[in-house]
Amino acid sequence: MRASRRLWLIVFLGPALVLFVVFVTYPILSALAYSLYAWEGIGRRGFAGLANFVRLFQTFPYPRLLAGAFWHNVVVFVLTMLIQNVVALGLALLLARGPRGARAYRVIFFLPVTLSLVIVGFMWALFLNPVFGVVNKSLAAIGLSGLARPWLGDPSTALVTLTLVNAWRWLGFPTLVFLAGINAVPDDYLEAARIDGAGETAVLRHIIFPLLAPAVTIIVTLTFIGSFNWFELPYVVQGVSGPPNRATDVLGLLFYRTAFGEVDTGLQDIGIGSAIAVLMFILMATVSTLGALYMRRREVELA
Amino acid sequence: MPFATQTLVIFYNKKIFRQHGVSVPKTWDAFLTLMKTLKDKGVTPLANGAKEGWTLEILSGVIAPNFYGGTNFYEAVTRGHTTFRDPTYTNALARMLDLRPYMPQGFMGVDYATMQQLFLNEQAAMFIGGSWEIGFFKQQNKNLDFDVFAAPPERADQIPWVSSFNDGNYGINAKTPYMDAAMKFIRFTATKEWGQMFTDMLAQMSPVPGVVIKDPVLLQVQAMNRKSTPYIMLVGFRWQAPTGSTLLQSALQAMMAGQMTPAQVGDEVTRGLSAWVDSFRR
Amino acid sequence: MSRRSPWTPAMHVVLVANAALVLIPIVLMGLSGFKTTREIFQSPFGLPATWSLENFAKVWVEARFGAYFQNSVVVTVASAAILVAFGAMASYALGRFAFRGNELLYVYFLTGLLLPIRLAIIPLFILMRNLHLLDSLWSLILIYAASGLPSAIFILTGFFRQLPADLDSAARIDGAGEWTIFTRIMLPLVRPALVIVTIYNIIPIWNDFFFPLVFIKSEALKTLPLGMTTFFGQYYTDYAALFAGLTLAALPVIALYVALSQHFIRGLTAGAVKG
Repeated sequence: MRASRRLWLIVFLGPALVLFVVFVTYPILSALAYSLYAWEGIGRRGFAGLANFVRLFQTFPYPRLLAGAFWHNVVVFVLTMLIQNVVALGLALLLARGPRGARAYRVIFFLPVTLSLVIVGFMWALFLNPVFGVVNKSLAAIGLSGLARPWLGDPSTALVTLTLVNAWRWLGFPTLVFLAGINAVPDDYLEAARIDGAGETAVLRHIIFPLLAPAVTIIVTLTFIGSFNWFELPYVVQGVSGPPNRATDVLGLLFYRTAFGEVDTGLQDIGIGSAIAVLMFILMATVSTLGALYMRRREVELA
Repeated sequence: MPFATQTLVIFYNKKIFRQHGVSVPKTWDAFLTLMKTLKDKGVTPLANGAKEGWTLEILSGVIAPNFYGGTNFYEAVTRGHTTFRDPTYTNALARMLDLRPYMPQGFMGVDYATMQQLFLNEQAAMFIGGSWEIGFFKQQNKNLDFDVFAAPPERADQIPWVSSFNDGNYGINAKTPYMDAAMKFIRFTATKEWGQMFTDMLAQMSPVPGVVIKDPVLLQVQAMNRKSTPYIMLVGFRWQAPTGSTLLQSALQAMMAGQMTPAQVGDEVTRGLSAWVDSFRR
Repeated sequence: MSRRSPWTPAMHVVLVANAALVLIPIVLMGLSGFKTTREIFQSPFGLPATWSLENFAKVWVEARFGAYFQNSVVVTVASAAILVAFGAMASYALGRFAFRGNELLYVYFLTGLLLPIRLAIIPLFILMRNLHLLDSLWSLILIYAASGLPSAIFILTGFFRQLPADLDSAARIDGAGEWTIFTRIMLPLVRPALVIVTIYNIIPIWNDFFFPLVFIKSEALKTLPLGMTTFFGQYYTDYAALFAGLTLAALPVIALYVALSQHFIRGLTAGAVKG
């Protein structure tokens, strides 16, 4: 029955394969290729070798824009790890104790994760408006009007504020992932430890945390990918230019406006845009692969 | 075919001016005094913010020409006799810093929508912006009693410069299969009938000659245009990337936030433009 | 894991505080839609003086929210249907048929998980233009379906593999055709995984903003997230309308979530949570 079996393989695999090759593989390979050509608008001109990369790394202001955007992605990643993921771990530990209403808390905490970043972004942009927004009005109402500032307009607070908005939206996700990880720790381990007289902290350090390693690796990898993929939130809240003075510029915004044009320029440069895309691809692919490999190695097998 | 020209001006709320006994200033210093008076009386003098870079570019287009010498400078810089590092230009930009105390609290975070809200809700006395706002302001708040004046020059005997620019054009794709219809339409946009409809309905200045302006505010704008100067970056420096506008907008944000000096702004803009403006490379 | 341990009030406070932090902004957003713009500025935290539906009506009718909503539904349902169907078919073959290149093909599909397809937006734009699909819902449906395949195949292949080995041979002996085996026997057995794959994909598809931003220009074809930016661009001085719009946009997902929270949670954390 070999021929008919082969036919069935084609029937089952074909549609997915065609779809994937045409709309994923081919565009990704093209993106890499585009960076090697000169462009005029969306018209491709001659082969340019690495000229686009050279321009990206040498012609002012691109090097500074690239470095700045990259640095901001790094800042977002670090801050998100320190704020969002640490808080998530804390909340997960609390929820794991089975307090009353734990189920309700889980549902509530996860709610923002289901909301579109567009909604979240617009909502917080309105709340953070320095003149009309509820955040500054609240500060004034409790007598802290000295703290009121243009959170999204001040170059020193804009990126952190955006990161906090992002954390507000995502917090429930690592919380529940960690919670599942903690709950997966077999009770016998914990019983054994307690019988041996181990205290809270010891149990945390020697049993729970090591067994949370897979969850942590996943969250770190996803946080990294998410941080470097930042686009919707800064686009909706700040606009494609990453204001003020590029303080909220990230690689995603830089890529988009180079490829499709900025406010008051409309001048796109697909060559440089593609070069930026190539760099981002390399970065993401490398880190994702390393993360996946690391995950494999560090998993503690529960016999 | 161009469809409108825009002029950059200062809108003011006539009622607020009357209530506080101030009038349209004739010199820059009088302008500063006027704003201080308003502020002392608890009124926010300016609605302008800095969150959107382009609104800062507009602000510079209103304030700076009187200080950098309008079209004389424009011609010098576009002909390669000088760059934006020229102190004539950077000192003109520095005047924007004088406005900061009179902008709303937290102005760095005030975006375009909030700016318009402030002026429309009569929570700010003045709005520095473009003539395209006339129709919008009228439509959003019919009770708003407003008018315009040109940014005041240093001395009372000088006639102020106003930046202006061609706001856009109708064009035909050369490969269209509907060339006849398209040409017919475009020819129509060059007629007085079209220009008059455009101006009457939208309260914007049509480039078609012979159009009669009826809106009183727009008439003021038209009068100001006797001494118009090109809105410098939009007209002269958007031919390639990075454009003068992109460079200036970010730099001005830094300047208004106190992170950059006007001289550094000029340097940054020149440096960026030198990628494609040959004369800037020397 | 339940433990009886000193349960200090501080811990309760933290949980309640976070719940408040999550709910208060959302509730505020909803409440503000019922107020007037002036009222929002003057009493941001208070209950509306009159619970007026005027803003919601304005948003739904004038701002064509109905159209945006419909487009989102069409795109999301179509994309999900295609990716679940094609993904299940491919996963079935990968999970239960031994053939040369099986392992390689599986890994090939999984590479899609690592690489952000959005970086290929320029060639995708040009591809859609060449296919005359620009400014059509199909451009969205095809890209969502294609980019959802890796996760679908990742999840479903595992499930298919775990089904008893003799299941299909027994059915074949009984004379069942390949397609019947797949649809009548295999698919029903992996139903939980199908639900997970569906939810895992429909939320990001429903919420996606990036592809509509690039591919869709016509007002009539905009999906909800993109329509919201148009809407914000138009009504930007009408804060009450803005909040009403945000609330309307959030409502479908919130309602669905509240009804199916466990499924959502399981679905959206799939791939991150083991088991």
